[in-house]
Amino acid sequence: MRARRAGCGASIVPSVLETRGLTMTFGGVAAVDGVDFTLGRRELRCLIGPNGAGKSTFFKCLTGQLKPTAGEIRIGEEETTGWDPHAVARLGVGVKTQVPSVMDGLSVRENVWLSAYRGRGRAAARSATDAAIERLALGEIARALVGRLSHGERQRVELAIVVAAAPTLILLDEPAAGLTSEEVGRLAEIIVALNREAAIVIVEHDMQFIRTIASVITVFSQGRILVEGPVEDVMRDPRVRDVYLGRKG
Amino acid sequence: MSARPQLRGTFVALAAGAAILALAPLVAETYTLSVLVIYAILALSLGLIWGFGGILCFGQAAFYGLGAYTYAIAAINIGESTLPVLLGIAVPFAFAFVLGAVMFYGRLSDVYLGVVTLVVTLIFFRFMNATAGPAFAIGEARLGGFNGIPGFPILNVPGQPRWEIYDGAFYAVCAVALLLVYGLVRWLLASPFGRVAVAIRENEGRAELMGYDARLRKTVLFAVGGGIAGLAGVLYASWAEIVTPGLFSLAQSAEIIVWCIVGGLGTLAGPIIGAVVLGYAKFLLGQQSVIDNTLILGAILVLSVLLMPRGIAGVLGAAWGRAPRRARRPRRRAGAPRRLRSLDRA
Repeated sequence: MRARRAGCGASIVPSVLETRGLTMTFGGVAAVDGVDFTLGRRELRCLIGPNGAGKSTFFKCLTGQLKPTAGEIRIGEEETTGWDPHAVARLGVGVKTQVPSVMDGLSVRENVWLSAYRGRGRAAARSATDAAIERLALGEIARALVGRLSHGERQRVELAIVVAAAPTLILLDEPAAGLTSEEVGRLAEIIVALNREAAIVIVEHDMQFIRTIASVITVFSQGRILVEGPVEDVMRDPRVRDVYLGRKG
Repeated sequence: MSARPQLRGTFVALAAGAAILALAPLVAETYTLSVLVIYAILALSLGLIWGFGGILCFGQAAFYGLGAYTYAIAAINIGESTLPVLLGIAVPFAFAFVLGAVMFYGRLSDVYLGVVTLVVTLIFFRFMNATAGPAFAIGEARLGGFNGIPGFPILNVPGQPRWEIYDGAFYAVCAVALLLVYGLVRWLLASPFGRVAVAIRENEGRAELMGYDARLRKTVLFAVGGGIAGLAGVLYASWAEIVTPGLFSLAQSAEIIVWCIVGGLGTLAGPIIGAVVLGYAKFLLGQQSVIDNTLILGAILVLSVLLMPRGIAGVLGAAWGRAPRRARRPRRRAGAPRRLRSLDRA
């Protein structure tokens, strides 16, 4: 089943995420180099680019896992440059990392509950946990230890962790990696549904998946934004083909 | 999460513990039992922060010794034990809080954390050894250098300095203290704070991405462990009636770690069992002079790690799990309603 495409609309609605001149260097190498990025409320944006383009580093700067060398990050009304991850998360930012980051020694339900509990009471956390488990179809494995689950199931658990916190901004790093085509289809539906409540940024390589969920994409290359626009236009852009094929423009 | 099964489990554990502690004087002297119970409290302090918080502290003896010295110094100056007991808990708690804040807010990795805590206890050890002169005194209490501080007032009934607590009564106080600490730790671990602490142990990065400040929670947990170790130090001081720099020694710190490993990390019963078993073995081995004690204890550690990676508690738990269900469950009376087990753990 093909999911609904999310709209752009960044120009007419206030931004929920904005970066200005965001730079992150490691030694003399700029992994992220002066990135200006804006995401509108309830917008869904996919970031693509070859390996080493700086997408995941950009993500880590947004979440507070890395402190940017220069530039500014604004999430909603707050300037969050250099904030710690827990402080960024408390603004309503949900993060799914590239490699599933879950608590292996705890059950699925405990993982989700921990996310749902923060900032809520016990009763609200319980209902949010139940809802997230149902939404991600994790009911049958709710009591299983996460460390014993398959990669696809762990991906879903991490997504349930994100969903349970009811975020207003969701950052997903390669959510479709390692999933079967059936799981990818289901994931697309879930993401589109989540986009009705939250703005979403997705780093992804699977172009078919991207076409299913997004209408606007941003291409990273060598730490910078190479091009930004509707999916089909970007795919036809010769510069994008060049960076993917490793040709110098 | 349904709290009722956990509450029932806590009561069962406390009742079983109380029964064992009450019957123990039938097989050993209360003097020996008292120090074993004190060791159990000390082991529980490390078992909490290492087994459930993932914080490997190589210098738990620092808080133990600090509690003992604080009690001795305060008891000499005050002449009564009530406030010194409280200070003996509060001072190590506060010290652990400050040390923990420096380490965790400084984002020290696990290895450096172990090194820092080890160095701290060695600094205490060296410093206390160097306090022999009359210049090293706090109020009327001389620190005494290598010889330590002897002859301070032991525990008394609160507000009654003349009613000293020793022998069987002291053992009862230690036993109650162990049960209280065990209950407190279980309650703490069952609370949202404890569950987040376990989550941080499992995956600190994810816990932070969920919005939990791991540094603050680890600092608080570390301080609680310090306070519990301080209580053990207070009781030890009153039991031994002398405190010496040996309380801060490397051997003392290593011993606590060995108790936890042999007993079983990640459980509450494990460190208690490890401390009692190895503490009693040390007591028995001390009565012979053929082989050095530490060699035998070292061999026990190596064998334990190789043969029982999850410790004595892990072996007992596995044996309990293999036991026939019928043997474990009480027989249901005919016509009695079936008990519903809560399926909702979280």
